Amino acid sequence: MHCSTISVRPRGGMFELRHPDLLALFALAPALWWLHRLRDRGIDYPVAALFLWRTSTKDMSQGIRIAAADPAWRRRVSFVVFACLAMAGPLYLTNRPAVTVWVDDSPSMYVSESGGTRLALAADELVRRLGDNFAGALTLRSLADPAKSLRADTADTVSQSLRSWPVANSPLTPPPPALMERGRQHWLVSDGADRNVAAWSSGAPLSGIVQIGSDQNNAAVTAITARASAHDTNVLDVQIHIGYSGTAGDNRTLTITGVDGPGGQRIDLAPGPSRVIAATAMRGRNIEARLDPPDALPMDDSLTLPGGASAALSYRVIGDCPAALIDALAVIPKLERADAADPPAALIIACAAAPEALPDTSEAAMFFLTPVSPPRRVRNPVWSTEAGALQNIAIENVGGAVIDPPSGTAATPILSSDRGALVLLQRETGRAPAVYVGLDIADSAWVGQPSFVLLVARLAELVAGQPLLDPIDAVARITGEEEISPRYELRPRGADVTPSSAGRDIAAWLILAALLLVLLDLGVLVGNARRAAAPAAGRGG
Amino acid sequence: MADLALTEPLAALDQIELKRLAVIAGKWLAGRSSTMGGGRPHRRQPGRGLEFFDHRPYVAGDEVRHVDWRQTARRDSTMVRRFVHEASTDWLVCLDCSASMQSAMQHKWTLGLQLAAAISYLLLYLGDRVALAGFSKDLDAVCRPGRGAGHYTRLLMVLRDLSRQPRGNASQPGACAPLARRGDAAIVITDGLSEDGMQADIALLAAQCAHVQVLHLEDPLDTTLPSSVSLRLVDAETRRAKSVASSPALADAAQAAYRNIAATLRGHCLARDIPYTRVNAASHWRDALLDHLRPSAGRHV
Repeated sequence: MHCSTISVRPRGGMFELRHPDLLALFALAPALWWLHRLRDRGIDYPVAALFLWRTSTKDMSQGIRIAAADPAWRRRVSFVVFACLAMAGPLYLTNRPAVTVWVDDSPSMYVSESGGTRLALAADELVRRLGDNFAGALTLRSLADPAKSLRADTADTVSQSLRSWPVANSPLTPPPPALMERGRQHWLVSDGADRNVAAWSSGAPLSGIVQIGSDQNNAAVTAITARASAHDTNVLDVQIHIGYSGTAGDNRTLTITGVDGPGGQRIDLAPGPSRVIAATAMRGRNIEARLDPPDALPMDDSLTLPGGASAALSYRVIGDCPAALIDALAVIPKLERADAADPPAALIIACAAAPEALPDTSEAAMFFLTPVSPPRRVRNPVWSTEAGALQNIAIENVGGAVIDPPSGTAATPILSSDRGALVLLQRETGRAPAVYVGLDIADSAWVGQPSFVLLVARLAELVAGQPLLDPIDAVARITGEEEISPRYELRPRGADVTPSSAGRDIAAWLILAALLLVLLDLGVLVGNARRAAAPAAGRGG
Repeated sequence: MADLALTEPLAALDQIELKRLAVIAGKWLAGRSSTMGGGRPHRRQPGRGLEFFDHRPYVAGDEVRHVDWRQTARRDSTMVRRFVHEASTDWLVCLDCSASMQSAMQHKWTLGLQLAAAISYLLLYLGDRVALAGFSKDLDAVCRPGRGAGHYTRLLMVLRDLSRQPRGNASQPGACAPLARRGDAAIVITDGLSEDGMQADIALLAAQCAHVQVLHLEDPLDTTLPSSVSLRLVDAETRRAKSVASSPALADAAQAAYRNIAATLRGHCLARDIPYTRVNAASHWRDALLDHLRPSAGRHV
């Protein structure tokens, strides 16, 4: 919408309306007055002498305060005036406009250039360029988290704040241009290495851009992944991903600790896709990869995959469980049997003929209820939505018995037939989860099928709360984080927001005033209603 | 009287009660000066005049032409005729006919009409000549002076006609001054609702008459409002209007203003030795009249 502006220049500043056309709504004010003039006539009441009824302080000689007729129309006309002014987009322009600086806090801004990090150099450049226009109302905002802001009152504060600005640990999410506060100058501090920032800057109402950075070469350990070996569940196959953003070839020494074989190796880096280095490691060890010598961005030269993430989960079997169940548990890669009671196992597997015979345990547990008599074939068993990955397992031609929730517990069925629940999940606050299985695990025809092994594994995952079958442990940096080359040239749109037209938006104050008038009006209405409801004791009427 | 069809409030006047009241008033007022508070002047007494009053024995100095020879022969003693004193006071009853008298529940207007009729009856019974003037901004109605039962009927007809007419737009008893002759007495029946407390008009009337009395009718409803929050007060006389928010404070201020005006009127009467009685408009006319006439009662209530 094309809008002209009007400006009024009082002493010390200037007011400007972005949408002066909306001032035409002032025409509502006389209409409102006219409507209230009709309404405020009230009930005609003849009196013997009008001069007895004094309503102004000028009339008062007895020291009695009198409320004149309710000037509601003044409040409401004031409300209309304030609302119209607020809608017209009032700006208070000063010689020192308010500034918002959007800070690109991706890791590339922490590249050490000659003279300091890019962010430190950008701080100096920003203070220099703002110069006399620098205002007390300068706000620093993070592009990774636009809600995060820091107010800076002086040039020194701006410089120190940017130098100590923490690196973002999430992708940059620039705000939509439409949501950027109007009436402020918006500046961007970036190195032009991020494509999203470059795209955003071309459409955002930016008054100025400080683009700093020249270094291009950066190698980074971008990810480490580990997966149980197909041959030995105690061995992990490890992959180390190396990213490189330089324009010419380079080489580094990669040192990997926690893996089998030689720890250091020379690798050649070339522009293009990231390199992947393979290794093997024992389960449970910390795996660290480091590139030497350090480059301009040392923070991404190393990466560590904690060993605890790949450690096996111990389980203990209680009761007379069928061999098929023992075998099924043994093939789950991330489970490790522990027969000793101390230390306590993370997962308890128990088999019994009746719920009363099951052990009382505070660990995650899988309880299998083995039927005494030959169980009946279950018909049309259905998984509930809480079953998760179990829903993919078909239960067909299986015997089983309906089970009831243990007394005093709240267990929900996750597998039910037309007769009742066959598998129950007990998940209560403050207690480890447990499953109760009523399926016949002594059925030799069923337990020999892959679905039985898969069922046991998924049930174990359900109570353990983590993947057990084929877990991939990984640690990775944000995609493209290693890119430090200022490949995008940032240019401010600079079309409609210039320092001369920037100012402080005072619409919020006008809206606040209008709301206060509404509250005042409500208060008067409530007071009038109460007075009207109160009995006029001793008075005529 | 029998031919006069009266409606309320004049129909409420009981002729027998009026006569009884006149007897009581006559006893109270006997021998009192007409300038004393609350009273009518002397009751009918012998003096110079044409109307026969009674007979008495001849004493030295009596005019021979007043000897009644027939009575002398009948009683065997010289008897002379006496005549009603023709110089007894002429009264002007001034009734406020302004619209404010008819405001609220018309208590003031009802009592005013009844008091005007009752006072007229009383004065006529006591032998005085009575004239009636209904006033507002100007004279609204006039009944010329007269005496006797027939004149009372004429007065009633004037009052009856007044009760049917629309009211005037001001309270100015001074409008009655041209009707009064020097030596006349006047009774003003009014609600006193004038911004200056009627000082100028009472002074004008007092300058014209030998004696003035004031019956001030007050109605508490004049200073009360209904509990409606928003009201448009309309002056009964001037039709001017003012929007107000009804509140106890507003009524308090109105009562204070009324007290101020009443005090002004009372002070003005006190300063000029004008008998002044303040009467509640809800009172019975008999009580109000006795209150005004009672010798023991203070006149400046």
